[in-house]
Amino acid sequence: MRPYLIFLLSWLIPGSGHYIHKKYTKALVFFSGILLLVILGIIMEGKFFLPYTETSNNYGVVQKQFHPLLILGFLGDLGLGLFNVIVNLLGFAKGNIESVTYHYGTTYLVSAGLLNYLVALNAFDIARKGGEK
Amino acid sequence: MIFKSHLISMLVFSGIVSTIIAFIRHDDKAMIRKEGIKLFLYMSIGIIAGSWIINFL
Repeated sequence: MRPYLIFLLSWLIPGSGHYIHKKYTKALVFFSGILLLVILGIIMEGKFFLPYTETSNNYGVVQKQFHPLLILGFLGDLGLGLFNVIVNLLGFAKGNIESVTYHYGTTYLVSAGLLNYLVALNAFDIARKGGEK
Repeated sequence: MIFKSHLISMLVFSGIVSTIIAFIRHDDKAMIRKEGIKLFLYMSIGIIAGSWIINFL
């Protein structure tokens, strides 16, 4: 059970799983690195993926259309855990497609999420190996 | 707006990502440094080579 809890905690707060295992340098690097990617992504006017596109038909009714590639991007952004929630609550990462750096910003954001999955899995692995000893 | 240069955007991205991945993969400081530099060079050279090839398309 404990490794899964650590995975969940590390997913919510990047680096926290390593902090629990007293790997303070790693925890600091993961937290600050992922936070830096998120901040740069926001400054570069990137956006968080939504799993659907919104289109309006001839009657002006807005319809949501789910798209597999958008779902993958959405899952990548979801990897940011609480950062994702906080950024959304603050109303950042809405994206500005007219900006030169829009695509780079979006890539920074989704990469930060994907890296946090790797960090959380690493913390899970450390916890599991620790439990076996 | 920052990073108007695409190259700098990519190099900064490579730097951060290679650092995080190196820290994930290794515990030893020397190995982290070696892996980080190796990944950064792979990404940077890949970016420059890829961009150069795209330039001809």
